[in-house]
Amino acid sequence: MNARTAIQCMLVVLLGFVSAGCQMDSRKQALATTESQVALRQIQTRAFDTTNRQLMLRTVIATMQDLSFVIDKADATLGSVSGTKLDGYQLRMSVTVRPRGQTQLLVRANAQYNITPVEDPEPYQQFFTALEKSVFLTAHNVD
Amino acid sequence: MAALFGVQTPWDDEQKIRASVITRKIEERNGYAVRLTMQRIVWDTQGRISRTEPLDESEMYQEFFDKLSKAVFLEAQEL
Repeated sequence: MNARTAIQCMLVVLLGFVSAGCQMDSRKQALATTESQVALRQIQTRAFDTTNRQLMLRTVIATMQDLSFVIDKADATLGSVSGTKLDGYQLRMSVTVRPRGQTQLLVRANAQYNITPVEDPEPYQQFFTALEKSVFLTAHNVD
Repeated sequence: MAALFGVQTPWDDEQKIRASVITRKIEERNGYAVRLTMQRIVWDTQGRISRTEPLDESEMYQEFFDKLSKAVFLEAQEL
């Protein structure tokens, strides 16, 4: 083995270590988010001027069906609805409805595109626009 | 050409249909509204998912509701 070959071998080994060092332990990253928790809540949450939780849950189900979701689970006690949309991709979404004070309901949506969490504001905005139309109420941003 | 080189082109083999049925009471008509949505996952002969899609053909929905109507009738008759 001449000196040049030896250097080449060392470089290959070194590169191997570097790439191994760059890999993150996916288990440790399991609860990590790219957006801050507060920012994510704002993106995913809207307030509606109604206290009729049952009607809101029904409207969430109908809106998800309008958007081609199949409903996987719905729980009136917890106030949650989960569904899946398949269209060349898998979009899973959970929506929770809970009271906010005496006059409002908070609706929070949470989606995953294939195995990636959806953290862009736009898809959520589209969902809430569709929900607004179904429920005939304005969705207020939450501070 | 593919056969010439011994490469098999996969074709759609199996499918799973997912459906949800939501019922809602309609007081003024003393009845229920039923809404169905369906979608499917298709696997090819190599076991890979070849497509995932919503099912929008009205005939499929009509068929379900026809069968549901019959089932409701049979239940009412206790057959």
